[in-house]
Amino acid sequence: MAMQNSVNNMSNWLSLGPADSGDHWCQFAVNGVNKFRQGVDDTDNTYKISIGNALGTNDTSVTTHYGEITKPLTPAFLAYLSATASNVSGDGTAYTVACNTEVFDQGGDYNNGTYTFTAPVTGRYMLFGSIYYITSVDGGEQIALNLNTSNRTHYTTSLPTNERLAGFYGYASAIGISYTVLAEMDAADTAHSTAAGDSGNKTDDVKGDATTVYTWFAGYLAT
Amino acid sequence: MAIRNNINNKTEDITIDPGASGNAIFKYAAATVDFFATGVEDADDSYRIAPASTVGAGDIYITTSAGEITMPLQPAVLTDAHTEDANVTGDGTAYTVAFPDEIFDQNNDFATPTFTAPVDGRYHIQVELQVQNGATGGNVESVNIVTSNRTYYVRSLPCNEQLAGFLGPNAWIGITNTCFADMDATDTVTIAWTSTGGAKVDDVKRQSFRCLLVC
Repeated sequence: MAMQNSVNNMSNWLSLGPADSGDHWCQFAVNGVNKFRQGVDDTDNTYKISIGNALGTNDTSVTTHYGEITKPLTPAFLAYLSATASNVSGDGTAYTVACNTEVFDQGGDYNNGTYTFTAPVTGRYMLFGSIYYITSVDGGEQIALNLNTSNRTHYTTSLPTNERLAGFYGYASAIGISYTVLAEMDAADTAHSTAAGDSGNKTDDVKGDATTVYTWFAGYLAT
Repeated sequence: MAIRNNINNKTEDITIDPGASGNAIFKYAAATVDFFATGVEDADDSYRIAPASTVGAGDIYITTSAGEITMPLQPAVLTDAHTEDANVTGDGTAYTVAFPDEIFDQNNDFATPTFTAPVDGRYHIQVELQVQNGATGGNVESVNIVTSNRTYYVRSLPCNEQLAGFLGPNAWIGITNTCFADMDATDTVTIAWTSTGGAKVDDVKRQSFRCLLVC
């Protein structure tokens, strides 16, 4: 016979309910130090897993009654180039795409001065990059956008520039290039984007703007 | 001395075991309402979270006994259609693309042409179009992801009007765009396709929209 617990006198379930307003939760502590708390936050009736000893503060997972799950502290970032970078490639120079404006940076793992994401934990990361590359008359003839991680370089896309296809779509035009990569990264590994146009002069630009997102770098810890 | 709990007389753990078949559940409940249940579904030995008094129906989160995790109610959308929208741009018109055929729409957040964020979060958004440029249509194209907070712009390949020597007239071109967007609850996403430099004779031939709440 199953043993009935002494909280709600049931064998197959245990219930926490304050019977009035207030959170109801289960606390996990080690040697007197509160590590994690899980339970329902009475303010919005969401189920939360939180670091420490309070629901609603340092929540790692928030589940609504409709089934949406958010993870407010999981590594995730989006940054973009806020102004056009001129004469950055065309001669083979690998231009580090300078996404200097952060839209969000959960975890604080993106450096908008070095344009580098550093993995805080070992895992699989979904990383995205996109550039708006403007070629000039004497600029490069083919361009590539690479994702450079500590483990490997993901050589993503190469397209002919308008120098080569000038007869079709004219000089000083632009090409959009993007990648999506699921990358394995160890803790402290880094990732950044580079763009390079070659076989010409260093007269090509990468477009940026303060409001519209033309050139950007983003990612999140997937699993 | 550590205090032993009075459920299973342990200091470091609490075990819920019905001692026979049946779910093993931990409930977080108010006076009259079961808010959430977490625990093991006896039918398949999975660990689940449900907004109910037990697990096994309307589950939000499922971890199988092999470790796979799914979130059946997480906002996630896929549409895929071969529906022609004729003469929608080419003259610079920003055409808001319709996505008529839903393959799935977990949480019911999409109603063509708009996805509406149900909660604050970070959303992975993708779009893929196949378009056909008429002989007098536009020469330069862009597919923009337009969110309430900002627009994500992508410049396309030159259209077949300009590449007629390669592709021939009226060929199709595939254009994609992706972003990882910050959205607040009730913020919206639509897709705008713009083709410029010609007449309004360019068509959408195939359209697919994908969106996922990531975190």
